[in-house]
Amino acid sequence: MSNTPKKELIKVDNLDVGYLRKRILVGLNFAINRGECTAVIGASGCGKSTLLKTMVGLLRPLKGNVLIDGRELWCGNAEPSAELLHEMGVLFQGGALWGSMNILENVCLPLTMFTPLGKNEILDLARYKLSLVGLSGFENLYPSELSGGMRKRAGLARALSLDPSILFFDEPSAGLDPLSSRQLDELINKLKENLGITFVVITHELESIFSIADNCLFLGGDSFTVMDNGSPQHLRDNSNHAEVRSFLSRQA
Amino acid sequence: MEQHSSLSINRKDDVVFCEFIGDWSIQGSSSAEVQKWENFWRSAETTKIKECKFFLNENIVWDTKLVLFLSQAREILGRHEIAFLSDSLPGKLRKLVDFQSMQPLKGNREEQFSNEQTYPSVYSLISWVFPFFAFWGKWLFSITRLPLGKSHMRMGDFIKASRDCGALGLPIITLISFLTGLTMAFVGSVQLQKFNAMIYVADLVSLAMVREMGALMVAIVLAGRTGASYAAELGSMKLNEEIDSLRTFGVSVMDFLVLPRVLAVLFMTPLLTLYADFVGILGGLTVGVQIMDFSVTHYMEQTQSALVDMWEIYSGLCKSLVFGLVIGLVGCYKGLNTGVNSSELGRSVTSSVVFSITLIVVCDASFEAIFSFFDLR
Repeated sequence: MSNTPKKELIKVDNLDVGYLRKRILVGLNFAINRGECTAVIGASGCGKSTLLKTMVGLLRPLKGNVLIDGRELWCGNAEPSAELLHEMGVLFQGGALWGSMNILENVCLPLTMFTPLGKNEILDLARYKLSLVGLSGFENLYPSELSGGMRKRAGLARALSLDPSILFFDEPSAGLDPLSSRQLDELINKLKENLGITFVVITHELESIFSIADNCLFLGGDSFTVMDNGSPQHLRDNSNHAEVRSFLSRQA
Repeated sequence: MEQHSSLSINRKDDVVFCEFIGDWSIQGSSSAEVQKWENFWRSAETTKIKECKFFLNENIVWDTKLVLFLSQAREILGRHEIAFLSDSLPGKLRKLVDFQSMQPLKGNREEQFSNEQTYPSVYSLISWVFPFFAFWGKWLFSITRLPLGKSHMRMGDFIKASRDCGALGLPIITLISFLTGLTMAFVGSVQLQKFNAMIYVADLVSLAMVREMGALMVAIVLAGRTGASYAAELGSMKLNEEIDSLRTFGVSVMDFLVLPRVLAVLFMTPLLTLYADFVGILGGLTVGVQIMDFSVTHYMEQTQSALVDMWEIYSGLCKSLVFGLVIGLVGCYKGLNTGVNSSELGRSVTSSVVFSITLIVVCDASFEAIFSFFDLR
């Protein structure tokens, strides 16, 4: 048996997502490869965020399962296991930092709870993570004192705290000016290359899609499932669906 | 001069001529013209009409109101298979009317996957009560993890929550229980004076305070102060996705947020109740000494003889434990189950206070019923 890791890191198996009375996406089947950045795209309201919620363990799927490295995320009635969740980091749209703690404490909290490290080591680690996203010197500020872009970066530092192998982003560039959103894209590329993290990014920003994504999942409105799948350039030029081509080339 | 919108409808053989006159803007006066238009089509023999032509008067004022009118008119005419002739209307207006009818209403997604079921009201009652009891159960389960060392609760959070609801609540508790004791002494003295048994004010105040009023007053203050703050805090954390981000780290929300808060209020309520009992008796003493001219020793001896059985105090503390549990759990439950917008948050805070006060009063009455059934009074 070889020790080389399997190429597929996330596998979505016949998944239906949605809520009790409202199914949003049906029969999803796709895989996400290790070390790649996958952009989940589609028109507003097509269920991207709902899919993300199911993939990060917040919303139980109606059917099917998500496999992370071959292990089932949703088994039985139990909540997803903490061990599996620590393989993933999530950056929410608004950062979702814990408002009662400053950003250093925000990054420290997961480390304190889930690692056996001592206090000083944890502080050093947290400071290192904050410097990684360019927030050295802001450790003592509270989330409410930060700008939108800084909040996102602080959220990213927190998502990185437990050294996850997958990072999920919910609209990283929403509400950011073009410059900050490009800086965030560069940061994603840097992290992908240097740390080998797998990214799953929900985004609308075309520029962002072409600069960070290796792969695109286009969620379709009328079929309620994955409409097309492939590299963004490929989809833009050669997709069989006119909707996908026009989405990626911004034509009505 | 204020202009009124008006519509002149003239019929000539199989053609209807409609002219818009006056102020056809949304600020314009009445909608009587629309009525007139509808009446015309109801009464007219529509089968004989082939075309309907629209004109604008020269000094007409118009905006969306006219656009909407015209597009509705087009729909009505379409139904009667009558031609809608808008050639004489200005180009801008025509474009707006065309644009309006170009936006077809899309069928929504719910219809496609509709598996709507109508549940009887018993079901909705169960679905309302069940999650609350499930929440109590989960909390009990979470408390058992505490001694095993598997809990995510941080001691610091518990201490901070205890300080918030205990020490920081002392001023208001002091004021309220002192005044309660004082008021009871005044009210009691009037009655007892008739029997020349004024000294029994001490019995009345002390017994009422330790059995009933101490625990009840503390519980009501804490429901408004602490329970509401839990609901607001957890509710706004939910709105900001802070709860979700805790869950994505695999942190148990029950252990991390609910347990320290509920434990804090559970421990603090009896302590505050003891304190309130004491302050309430002081309030009675003030009236006894200042108004009724008893000596402090006399009054305190009388109080002591009234409280000869410690059960009087314990029974109040028993109640306060349950009240504390109710306040903490209801506050946290309402906060975590708030809706997705800020008005829902306000509603959950209100309902946390209303619901916990209701439960407190119901529990209090049940306690009294149980005590009297088992001859514990």
